[in-house]
Amino acid sequence: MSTIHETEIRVRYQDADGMGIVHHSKYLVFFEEARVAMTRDAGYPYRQMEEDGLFFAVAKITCQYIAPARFEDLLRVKTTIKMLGLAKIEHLYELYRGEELLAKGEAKLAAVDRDGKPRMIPDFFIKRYLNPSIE
Amino acid sequence: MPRTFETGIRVRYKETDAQGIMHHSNYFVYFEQARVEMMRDVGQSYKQMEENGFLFVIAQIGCRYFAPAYFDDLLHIRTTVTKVSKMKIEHLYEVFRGEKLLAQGSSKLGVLSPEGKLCRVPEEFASFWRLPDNS
Repeated sequence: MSTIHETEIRVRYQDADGMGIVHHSKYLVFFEEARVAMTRDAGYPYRQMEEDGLFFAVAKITCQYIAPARFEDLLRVKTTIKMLGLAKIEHLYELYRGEELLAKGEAKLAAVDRDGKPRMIPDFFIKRYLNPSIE
Repeated sequence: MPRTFETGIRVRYKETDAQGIMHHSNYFVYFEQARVEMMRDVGQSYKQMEENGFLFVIAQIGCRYFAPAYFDDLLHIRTTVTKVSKMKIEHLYEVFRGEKLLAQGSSKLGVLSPEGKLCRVPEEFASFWRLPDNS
């Protein structure tokens, strides 16, 4: 399973910290933005999903930092679907500035209902998620 | 014995997200605050260390999320220094609300010298953080 999705993100001033570099917690927000863009491109935007009672809860996230990002950098998040189960998704994220790899992350997400109980990911979404060009 | 320190943090409204729970990226900010408070508690100052030209950089960080935190929750971060090597300091974080464990994280930090190069952990920090079994 290796569907790859790319999202561009411009670093905002408030993303930087006292060292003048992007604060390490912001990478999680970048990864989230990439996930949300993926659902939009798959034709089932995240907001719609939530209105339909399907939520994703982050179960685990890790990130390795290789080089810092700075204000105004144009970054690219390359997201790979590592695993897509009945009620969970695993993503790999690679964050680039140009050709330079700045960070690598990994997330495990659980599909849950309004009450936080596990629920199945709809079949049509899985198909579109894996291949956004499907009509 | 590993050195353990407890920090109390109250969840602010702006840290909650569209699901009404504390956004997962904020845990990294709480871990950071816990590290800074832990240093202050032993009479060291992160700010002073920076003014002396040394910076901590995050090499790797991760978190597992078990249950959500909400606005106004009073959380306790239990921070343990699990390892101090020549080049890295490792921490373990446990986030509690009362007796309930909400999340568990870990990080590896390196130190940048005044020349901006990764360097050995300065002795004044190493001597404090170092555990009996690797001193």
